[in-house]
Amino acid sequence: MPYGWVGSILYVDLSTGRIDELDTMRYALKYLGGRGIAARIAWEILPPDVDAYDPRNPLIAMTGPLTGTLAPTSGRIVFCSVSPRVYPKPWYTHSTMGGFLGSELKYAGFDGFVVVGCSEEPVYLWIHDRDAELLSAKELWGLTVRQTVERLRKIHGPGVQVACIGPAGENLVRFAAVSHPPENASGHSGFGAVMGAKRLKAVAVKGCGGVKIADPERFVEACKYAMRMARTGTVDAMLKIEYRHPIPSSRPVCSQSCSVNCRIGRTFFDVPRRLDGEGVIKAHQVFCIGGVWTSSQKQGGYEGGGFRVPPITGWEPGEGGVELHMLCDDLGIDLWVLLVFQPWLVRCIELGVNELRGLKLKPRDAKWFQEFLRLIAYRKGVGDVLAEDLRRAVDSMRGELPKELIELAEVLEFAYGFPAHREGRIWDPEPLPFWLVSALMYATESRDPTICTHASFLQLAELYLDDRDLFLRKLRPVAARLWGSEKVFEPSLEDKIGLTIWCQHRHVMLDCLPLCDFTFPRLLKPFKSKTEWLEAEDVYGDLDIEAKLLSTCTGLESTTEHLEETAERIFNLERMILVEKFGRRRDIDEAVARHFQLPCKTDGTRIGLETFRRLLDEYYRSRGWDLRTGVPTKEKLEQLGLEECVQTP
Amino acid sequence: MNSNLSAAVPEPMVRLAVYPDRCRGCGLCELVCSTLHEGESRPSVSRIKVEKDRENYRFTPSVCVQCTVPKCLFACPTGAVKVDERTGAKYIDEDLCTGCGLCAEACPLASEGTVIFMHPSKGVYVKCDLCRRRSGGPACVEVCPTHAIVLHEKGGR
Ligand code: SF4
Ligand code: SF4
Ligand code: SF4
Repeated sequence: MPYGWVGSILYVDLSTGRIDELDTMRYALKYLGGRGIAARIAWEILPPDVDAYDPRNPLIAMTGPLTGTLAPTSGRIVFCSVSPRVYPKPWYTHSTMGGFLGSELKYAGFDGFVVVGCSEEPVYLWIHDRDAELLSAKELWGLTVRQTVERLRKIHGPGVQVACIGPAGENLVRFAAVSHPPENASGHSGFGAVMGAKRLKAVAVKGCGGVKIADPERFVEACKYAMRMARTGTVDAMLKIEYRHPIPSSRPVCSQSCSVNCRIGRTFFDVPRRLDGEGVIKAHQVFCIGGVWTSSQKQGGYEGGGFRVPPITGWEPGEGGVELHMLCDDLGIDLWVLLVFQPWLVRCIELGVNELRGLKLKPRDAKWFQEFLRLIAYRKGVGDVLAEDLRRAVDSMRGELPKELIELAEVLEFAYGFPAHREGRIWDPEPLPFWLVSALMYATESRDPTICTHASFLQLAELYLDDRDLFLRKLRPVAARLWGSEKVFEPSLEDKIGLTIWCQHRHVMLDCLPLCDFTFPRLLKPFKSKTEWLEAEDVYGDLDIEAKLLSTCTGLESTTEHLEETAERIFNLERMILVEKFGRRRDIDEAVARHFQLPCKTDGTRIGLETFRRLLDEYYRSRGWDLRTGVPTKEKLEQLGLEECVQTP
Repeated sequence: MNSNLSAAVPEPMVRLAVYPDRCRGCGLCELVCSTLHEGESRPSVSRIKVEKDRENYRFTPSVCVQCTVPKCLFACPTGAVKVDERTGAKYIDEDLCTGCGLCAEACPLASEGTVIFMHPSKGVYVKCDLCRRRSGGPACVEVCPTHAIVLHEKGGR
């Protein structure tokens, strides 16, 4: 029995009802876990050009060696599949989630599950102590997320962990979430619709096993050290709330093993348990993006390059914000729906479009928005069009809309149909060089990549904006040490490639071990307050924490170099999946450049196509990718031990 | 309880106290306890158990309070429940335990099988031993980020 990994991955064929197992250790040493193992499995079984709803499209859920252990923030799981949201044509991508499903899965004896095929009748997968079975979900089909979980708790006991879909997933809404209540979801990639297409309503897990630890004492010490280094949580938590010890219990955890002072979990409300008003839920947690519904995060707004994106206006508790958030959770819709649709609909009205296919628009009205979400989830009226997500929806309404609204949709979901995020234009204020690193990541990945690079880089923008000269003075030695140039953090185009690639590899690492990207990597020391940050001479944290956790947990002698090489292998394997199976080439990477011709909302900087191309050349060169095609070279693939991916011309 | 009997048991030097209001359900205490005692991260065999009602954000840790008059110890027919000399912790000697379960039946806190319970694969009963072999003392206290578990000197039920 290995340490860290529990040794087995379920392989479920819904078409035949057959359940097999794969040996995790066949993949683990080379691909680690999470996105890595998932990519390797996808490489083996995913046929080319498969649509998201094709029965041959596998839905792969993978934990990593640290999931379920004491390692702080390790309670995560990643889903990988062909995403129906990807525009214009679905391709393979990933979507990670916290919570308690991943750890429970390992306690039940499995590192992950792969679901292929399609069931004739609705089913759910019941995984419990080294066993798994497919059970009828006829009674569950049509239920909301909360109702589904309540029902499954009645059947399998209160400790059962559930990931399921709501009506949105059943009705193939392209941004339907895989929901893991009360507060987690794998939302962005629309994998809820993949489950819907497979007629897989839920996965329910219960286990009382454990994860064996190679060197328990040293592992506990490594975890305690990691907790100390991570105690302050996010960068913005550090800036905006003074660190307190002990951590106030009002900072909720959203995942197994979370030890940090996170600002993300922030709000509690007393609200009706269900929207029909039955019973009262004492405290409803509103995590992260859920905040937009309750205006705890006033968001966005942009004017520039001929575009106006009206700001998001959430609703206060009492005005319907919490209820809307809960409705979204209940229907199983990606919570970002507000960030995409509200500004677009408000702009519709500003441009005199007061009606969409018979639906009168009132996007600032909470009651109206409730109805709007239902129309989408049940695909009623114009909801049937909008359930295709904004990019596809405007395509099918081209003749009915003014040009600006079509172009606005292209801006709001500029990257392969994913909503804009931390790109210095629409939502977050990243100045140069932050948005440039975003842009290069966007150009070379399968989805919005910024979602998992908060602590590695993007959140540092808040420190930069707070006091630029101070930030640069403190970060220069760090940059020189890590990337061999003091200019890395300067607001310029120079020396950004090393940092970009580093962020991407750290992202892969986090999705494989796994750990939370708001907390790791610890590029900076854990400053307990802004004063400490201001006074510190040496600000460098510790980037070896991940390797220490992995080594003591699994008994492998891992180092940061080993992890970085593994991450590079996985990143290139994912690239090859896109290249080989979905025709990804340089032209697709370049298409993202258009968005960054819009001026940055903070400093007005932008990048022209020719300059972007030059940077892409530099990026490909550093990666060992062919400059003309953007495909990893034979030499690179062989160096990474990916001989099987070398293309035969 | 017979006061003569209780006089024979040394006073606990330390005990754990839990504050459910502070607990946020992270599970770190369960994981460190099982990692150090069983070599695996496994909440089901942790000597401290946290009941987690995530919907209502209510969490209730429970763990042995190291009674001054330990009913588990008096109930045990084989003398498997012992008292650690250094810490005063009541602990179970797994070599002597026959798995009869009388200790758990006697324990006033064990109603939900949480603080003293049958180890599912070993066939013996287990309970908190205040990490008696660990130089740093109780590990759960060290990792709890909210101080929901606190070490108290003296005292008990
Ligand atoms: S196991 Fe129960 S009876 Fe024994 S010392 Fe602990 S709380 Fe008291
Ligand atoms: S003191 Fe030690 S044995 Fe007791 S619950 Fe805490 S970690 Fe477990
Ligand atoms: S470590 Fe503390 S906060 Fe976390 S579950 Fe245990 S008692 Fe609760």
